[in-house]
Amino acid sequence: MMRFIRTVYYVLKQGLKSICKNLFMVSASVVVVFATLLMMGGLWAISENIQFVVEQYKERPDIRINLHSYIEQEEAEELKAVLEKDGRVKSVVLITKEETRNNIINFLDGDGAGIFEGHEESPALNYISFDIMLEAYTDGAAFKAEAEKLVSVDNVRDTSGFISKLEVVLFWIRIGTVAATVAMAVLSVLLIFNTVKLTVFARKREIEIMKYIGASDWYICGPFVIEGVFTGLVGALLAYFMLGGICNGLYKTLTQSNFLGDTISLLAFKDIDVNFLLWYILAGVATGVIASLWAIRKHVNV
Amino acid sequence: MEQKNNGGKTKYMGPDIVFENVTKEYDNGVKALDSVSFSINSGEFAFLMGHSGSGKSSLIKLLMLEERPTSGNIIVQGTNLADIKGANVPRFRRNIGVVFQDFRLIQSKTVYENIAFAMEIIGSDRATINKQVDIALELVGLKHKKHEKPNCLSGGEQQRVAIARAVVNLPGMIIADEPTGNLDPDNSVEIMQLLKKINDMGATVLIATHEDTIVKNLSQRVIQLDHGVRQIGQE
Repeated sequence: MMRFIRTVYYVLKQGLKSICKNLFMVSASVVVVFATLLMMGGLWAISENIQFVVEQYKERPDIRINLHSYIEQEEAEELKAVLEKDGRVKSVVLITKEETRNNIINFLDGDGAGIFEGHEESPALNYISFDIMLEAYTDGAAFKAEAEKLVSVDNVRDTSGFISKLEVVLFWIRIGTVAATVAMAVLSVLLIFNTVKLTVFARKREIEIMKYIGASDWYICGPFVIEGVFTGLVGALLAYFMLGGICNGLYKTLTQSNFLGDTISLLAFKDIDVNFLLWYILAGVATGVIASLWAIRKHVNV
Repeated sequence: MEQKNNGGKTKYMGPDIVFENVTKEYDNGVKALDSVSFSINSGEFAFLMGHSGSGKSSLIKLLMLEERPTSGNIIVQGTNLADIKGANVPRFRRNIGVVFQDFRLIQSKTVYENIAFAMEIIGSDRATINKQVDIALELVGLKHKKHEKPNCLSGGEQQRVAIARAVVNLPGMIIADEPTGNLDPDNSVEIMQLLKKINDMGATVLIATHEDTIVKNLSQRVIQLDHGVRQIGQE
């Protein structure tokens, strides 16, 4: 056991010495690992937020049908029954004239609601609406086109198209995340590989001697793997804290500035932080280990 | 092959090195060794003689498991080297002290550190390392130079450091590949005397060389190689 501890101590010592000697190249490798993980995490955070926005939109009615103000409750109830029979419709909620009026006044409360004083009976405030949830939001455009042809209908708002567009954006961001991550991971491995290779080259003679006097492969590889692990670990930690800072900063700015209004909310870093630190460390360390073992492999072949 | 019960422990008593019809042919078609057979007993001192290209280095590479034979068997201290797979090669090498023509010392380490290195890699504790290194330096007569760097030493001194490194782990066998190749005659004699002294202490010693005078001076057993073939009549 003591023998093992002494060997581990030696391997760690040699690894740290090698990092100090090779600090410039190690720093360059750390920067690449950092950039890779930051970009990967950033794209992940963006896609999670878009997904969150899509989910919020999916919970809202896909179609809002506003009837002409002269359409009364009885006629609207008949139209509701017709709409409910449509196979594409999941649910229909009828909003009475009174509810519409109250909604508009409440929405503008403190922000110009007074302009309607004395105009409570105005057609602009008194119309019946339907909030319709479709079975599939992809039917939104066709449904809207048909609804607009109904004589009782004044106008139709379709939010399903927006969801479709967001989902396309989301799809491409996810593809981009994978592609960019793979490209940057390859770059990271290559750079760490080159850094470790420099150290291996500087210690080539020593490695050769170590092999002849019976050093085990892990004893020879250990210091180089330590160098790779250090690079990956530092890159991962820097990327994690930087990503957390950027995400929290943006979240705070966008939320406080009311840039998105009250209708849309975003995810804070803590909401998307699904063991990010652990994954980052695993990814960084794995990159370092793969690259360093690759760099040393032919020198330890006996 | 014999075995003797030695205080409860079974000790291998057969030859230390056995070559049985060993052939080594490289990928480029060069046949370095052709059906070579010989054995070296435990505690024996033997020279491996031959000119450049005779197969001496290939034979040593095979003994150090740096290369594998194309055919035939090599048995070292009772173990067929064919049975030693990758991960066990380092453990095998720890039982053999090896000395090279070019000394192979690490220039950035002191004499002490170079010798201690061979014990550090097997995880020996500091007290044992200090003790063993001192004994090895005493043996080669360089205790007073333990804090010097190799580049401050003469060729003969550097080779003596390499020998100290080879013996510090108390291996049962020393293999030296042209140990006097870079040395003047006086230093060559000193190195050979040192290796003989180590042999007298019980270690099996195999020295690859092409220098006739050294071989004649010591009057020890000679295994002669010529173009990969053992020349029995000339030994």
